[in-house]
Amino acid sequence: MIPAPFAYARPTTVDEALQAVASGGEDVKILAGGQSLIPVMRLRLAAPETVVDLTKVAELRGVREEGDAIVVGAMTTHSDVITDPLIARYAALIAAATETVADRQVRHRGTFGGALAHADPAGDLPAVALALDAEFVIAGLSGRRTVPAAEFFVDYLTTALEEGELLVEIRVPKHEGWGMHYEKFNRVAQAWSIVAVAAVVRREGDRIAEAKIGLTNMGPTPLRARGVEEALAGAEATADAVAAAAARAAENTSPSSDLNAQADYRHHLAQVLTRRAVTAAAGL
Amino acid sequence: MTVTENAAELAPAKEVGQARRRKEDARLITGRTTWTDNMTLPGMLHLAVVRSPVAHAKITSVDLTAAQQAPNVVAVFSGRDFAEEQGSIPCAWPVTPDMVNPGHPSIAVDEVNHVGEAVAIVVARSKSAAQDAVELVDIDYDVLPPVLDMEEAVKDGADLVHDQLSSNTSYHFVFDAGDAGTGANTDEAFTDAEVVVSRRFIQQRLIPAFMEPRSVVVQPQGDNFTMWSATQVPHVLRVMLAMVTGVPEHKLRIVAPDVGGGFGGKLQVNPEEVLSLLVARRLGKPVKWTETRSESLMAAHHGRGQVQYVDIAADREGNVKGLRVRLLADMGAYLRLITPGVPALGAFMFPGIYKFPAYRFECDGVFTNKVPTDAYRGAGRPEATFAVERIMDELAVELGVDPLELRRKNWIKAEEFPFTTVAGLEYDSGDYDAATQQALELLGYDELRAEQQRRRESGDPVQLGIGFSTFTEMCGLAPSRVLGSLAYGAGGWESASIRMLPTGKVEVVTGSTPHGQGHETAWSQLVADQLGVPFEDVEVLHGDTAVSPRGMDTYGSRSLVVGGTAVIKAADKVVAKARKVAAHLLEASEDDLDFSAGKFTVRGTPGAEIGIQEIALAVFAAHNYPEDVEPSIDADATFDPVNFSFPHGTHICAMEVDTETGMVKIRKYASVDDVGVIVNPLIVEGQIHGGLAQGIAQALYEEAVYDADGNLTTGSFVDYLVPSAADLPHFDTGNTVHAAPGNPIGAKGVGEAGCIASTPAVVNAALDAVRHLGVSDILMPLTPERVWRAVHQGGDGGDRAPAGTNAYGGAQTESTAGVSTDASLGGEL
Amino acid sequence: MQLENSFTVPVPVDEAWRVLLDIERIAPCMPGAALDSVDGDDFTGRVKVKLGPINLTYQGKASFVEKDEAAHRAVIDARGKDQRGNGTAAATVTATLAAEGSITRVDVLTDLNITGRPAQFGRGVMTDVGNKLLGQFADKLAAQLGEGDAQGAAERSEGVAQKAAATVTGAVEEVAASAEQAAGDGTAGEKAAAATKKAAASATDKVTSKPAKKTAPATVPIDAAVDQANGDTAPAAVIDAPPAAKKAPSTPPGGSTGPRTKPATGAPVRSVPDAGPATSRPRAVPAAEPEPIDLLEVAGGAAMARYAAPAAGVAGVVLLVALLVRRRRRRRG
Repeated sequence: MIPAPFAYARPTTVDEALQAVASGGEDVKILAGGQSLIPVMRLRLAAPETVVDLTKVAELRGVREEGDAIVVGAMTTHSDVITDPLIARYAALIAAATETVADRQVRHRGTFGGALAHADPAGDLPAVALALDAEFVIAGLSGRRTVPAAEFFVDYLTTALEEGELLVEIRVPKHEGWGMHYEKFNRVAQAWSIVAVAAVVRREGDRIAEAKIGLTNMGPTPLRARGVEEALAGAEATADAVAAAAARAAENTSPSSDLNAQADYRHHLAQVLTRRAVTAAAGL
Repeated sequence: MTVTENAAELAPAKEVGQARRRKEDARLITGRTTWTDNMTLPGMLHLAVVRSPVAHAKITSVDLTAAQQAPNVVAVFSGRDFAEEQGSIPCAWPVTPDMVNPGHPSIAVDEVNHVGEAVAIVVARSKSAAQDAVELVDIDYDVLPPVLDMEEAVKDGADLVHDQLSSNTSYHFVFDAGDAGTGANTDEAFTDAEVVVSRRFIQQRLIPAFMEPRSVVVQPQGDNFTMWSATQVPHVLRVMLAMVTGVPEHKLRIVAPDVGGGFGGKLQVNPEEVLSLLVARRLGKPVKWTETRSESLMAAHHGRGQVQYVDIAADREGNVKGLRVRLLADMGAYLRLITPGVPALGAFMFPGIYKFPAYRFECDGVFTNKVPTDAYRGAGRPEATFAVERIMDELAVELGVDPLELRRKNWIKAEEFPFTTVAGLEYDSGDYDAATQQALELLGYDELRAEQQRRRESGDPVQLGIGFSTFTEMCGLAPSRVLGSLAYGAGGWESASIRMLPTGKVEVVTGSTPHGQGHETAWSQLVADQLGVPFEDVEVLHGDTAVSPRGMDTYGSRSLVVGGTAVIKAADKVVAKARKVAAHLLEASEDDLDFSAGKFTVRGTPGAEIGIQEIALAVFAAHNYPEDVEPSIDADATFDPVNFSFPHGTHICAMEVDTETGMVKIRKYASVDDVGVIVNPLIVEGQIHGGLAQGIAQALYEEAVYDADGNLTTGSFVDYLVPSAADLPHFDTGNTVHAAPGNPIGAKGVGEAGCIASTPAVVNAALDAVRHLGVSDILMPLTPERVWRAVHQGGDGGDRAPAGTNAYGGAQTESTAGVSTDASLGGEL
Repeated sequence: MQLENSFTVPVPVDEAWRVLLDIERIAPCMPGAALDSVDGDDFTGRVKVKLGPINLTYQGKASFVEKDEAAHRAVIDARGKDQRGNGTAAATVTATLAAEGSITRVDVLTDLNITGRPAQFGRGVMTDVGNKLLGQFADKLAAQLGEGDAQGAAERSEGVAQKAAATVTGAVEEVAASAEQAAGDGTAGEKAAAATKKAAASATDKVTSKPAKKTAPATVPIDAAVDQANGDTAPAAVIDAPPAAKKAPSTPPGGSTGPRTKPATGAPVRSVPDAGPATSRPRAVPAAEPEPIDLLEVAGGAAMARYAAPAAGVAGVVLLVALLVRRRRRRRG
């Protein structure tokens, strides 16, 4: 369908973008890759007054190294993320998960920051960002602030981004020597996850020193499976230990019931997928 | 020894049988053609339809003022504006004399009966202006309770879809072999039976989801009208529109330009086609309407939608004794073109390839507050094949015998053809054994069975199952007299006309209307062989009633069998006419002439020859031609088949089931189909693949779900899952060939075969993998959740979301396994 | 879909009943709602729903279709249409009050039907939204009923308007006053301000003399209150009463708004936790349009356990004020 008429701004810098958003009127939407916003606008479930297109804001693109972290520009496309060498080296989980997103065409337009700011609990990247303890750098007219992933995802489709603010970049701590795996469960190839698990595991000899588990679609926001992480810390790197820990995956989750799965099935899937993800990430 | 080779005897390779690349593909695949939506006419206005958001309501007020004042809006109409002239969408198949048809307005006047029903039309100068104005139309509804569940709808005292009727049942159709004299009565067969197995199966509602959305352009020229429409049935549409709107038929021209797929979904007289014509007539201006995808999923007709109660009777050795079928068929809110007939089409196919002595079929067409159903690939036959192939597996389990052996024991043997079934159909030719043997080899059956055993013994979390579907179907619609006896409103013939142009090129005008089937290529191959002209010299014209005036269009796997035969017969007539001219020009007697490879030669006179393309030129000049003929060798033919044709096949699916998650994956899929003589193997393979994709999709992915309020919750491809190539396995296909005796090509029709056979093969395979875990049935589509629930909680997988929530609703209905079978009859409870 | 909410309020059943029938206090309990007109038992208005990028405005009417005084049962029938033609929403809300000594137990049963585009997605979005909307509604309804009305307040406490009562009262009045200003001529703003004033124990005449036309939503003044509160001494006063704050228990996530009945937890009011450091939302005060309430920011049940901070602030302040005042009243009475 055709979106309702809107005003269009195409800034070239972050400051211009913030100005455009501030002066955009009552209902302003920011356009990153458009892979989530445009369909909603075409269905006329949203009819923003102004759309601020960030495609030309070059400073928002690209991945760089900064000390003990890598910094991913919010407008970096999925396809660029998949091929980026810094991500491959320090946060391979992001590339692995991004490869499962939709299809080639979508990945060439969709962006890392856009997907995170959209905060769809069934999207793959929020759980990955959460598992990697990423930090979100947000710009507003009064300056910048940094929000840790644990506080960034507030609710269904809602983040810590206030009106008038822009997600600029995402700092991901370098993870060297960690095993990583994204286990996604969906019915057809391009579909959203019914449930998915991001596992980041650090081995020390025959033990698992530390594990970080992000859950996709087990609630209105991505979640960390704290119970599993607790059980895995210092555990033996064996299939049994992993299975026992994975049994705690559904703790403190509140998945919704929908056409793809009811809550109890999601609880079960979380356990099975966590086991599989951790097993792979632990190199077992 | 010298071998003298006569050039005339070295016939060039026949076209028929060659895997010719399709002529139409370059433009179809790149899209470089004029689809209906690409058409732009001077002064053209754009229509947008305002649709009801509620499933069942009285319209209490309609306020068009804001919409009428919107920028660039030319007019806004409501149902009241067309109440007098819109008539009713025609139903061309009143299956029983007392069938109830409440009438189907193209635009709602006083009440709406399904979500998506048209309630107003906006006419504007641009598509976006029309879309913007849709939001401004203000309509109030007095909501009534929606009728959504068929089993509830047929109970006494149920809410009514149409309150002017006394019930929700449109018709009760019965076919009883005993009464028809084609077999025995089922009552005795069942009372005497040693074993009876009863099941309830659900054929879920599906959406045809053709790639090109529906689109209509109407151009008035004085009191003539030309309509371009993405339709499968321009000829049918012309007749029907004339009858509904009163536009005289000879003043109406329908053109189906290149059409991007239909699958039966465009076999329809659409309300939007009627409305476009009415609006164009009223305004005197050209108009265009094109739907969006979500509109298409919601408002274009759906397919399938049946609750099936199936009983099979047998003796302990596994000989089948009787089959009883009782269906509830979901009509939707209204009867469209052949809505009531689709389940009836399956009536004769439930016995499948088996020699049932007794058979009875009953079907109730039931109204619900959903969009109407109608033809969708297979139209009645996939439903029938599913039921019989599933119940045969259930019987095999009950008897503890191999499912393939049970089938073999009961199916028609090769030497028994032609065979008249208990449903009164004469199956023409075939060999189920040969096809099955080939399929087993293609699959690697023995190794897979061994693997299944190993996995079972070791309790592997991933289990393997193998499912069969040995099917036949009736296609090549159809002998007109048979259609008449079934009260079908039209005939089943097809027409073709061939003209040879002065330069020797050939124009073939066909009454078939391809929308992806490749007729331009296949007909060129047929004509190339018949006339002996090069393949490239043949041009096939179709789809425009001004160009192809006579036809019955394309559906039901009929075009090659019926339309191709018409082409052959027309070509034969051309050759016969040309022979007269050749005889004259060669100064020989017609009987002394041979015709081969496009040339007439005089027997015994080497060098005396004339090509048919030369004759075409000669006839054009008409300087020298026999006195008693007209200077033309053009000819046409209309062919009315004497019987249906019956392709058959054996499909075997090997399926992995991950019992931990319920995810199923097709490990291997082998199918050997007999579609008679194959004109173009590439096209046949493409048709099989496409049919398999849709049949597998029904088993695993697709379902049109309505919630408790009658909203279609699978309103986009996010939720209506159409599989892509990434989701489907490699298909191992093969063919056997038993020529169809009923047409000179020997072809049997292939368009729907893959779709008809595959669904039960897939479901049987999944069940075979987990039966030992206590699973006896799983509802389609086999979502991972359903499989998991069936394995771990028992039952059939259940509803897909808690009943009463907005994701899925409707009344609670009973689960499927083991319905009403008395233990004393050996069936399960 | 059917949604049930239950809670108790610390006022006698007759008083709660009177408040329940007061359209002008009840209608704005629907989050994102603006009342356009009231005519006897019928009222018209708009409800704006914002869910991430999705933005819907339902316009419609509601009426009391049943008022059973003896059984203390009221049924409100509400139906609205989305302004962009995205479908309809209809709710039949049945509220039943039952006396439990001097407090009242309120059961709200809602039959919610959503049609059109939002219902055409199988991911259950509308179930979540419906739950949250109704949870919000129940929260606010509880607050309204819990405050009782002028008559009841007068009956319960003499010497109602005592300035000595504090900084709290003063702060609240200040809050209310600034809310009034902030909301311009919006009477709903006045109403909320009035509610807080009542809570501060001055029954003002403004409560009874409301013009029929209402344009500003109830939520704005609350926000304005927050804004003002954050800048004033009010929060200090509020924070002074930690025991009251701690008394507000967190009810289990989504408990009262799921399809199954969950009994009231016994708390006086279904509350929101952590009135603490609210993330202040600088929000432009609207003139005539209802400000869309981003429902997922104002706490609903499920939200609480996970992300209290931003969500809590807004409603938390109001409730704390209400609790404080009630406490003060009890001390007094």
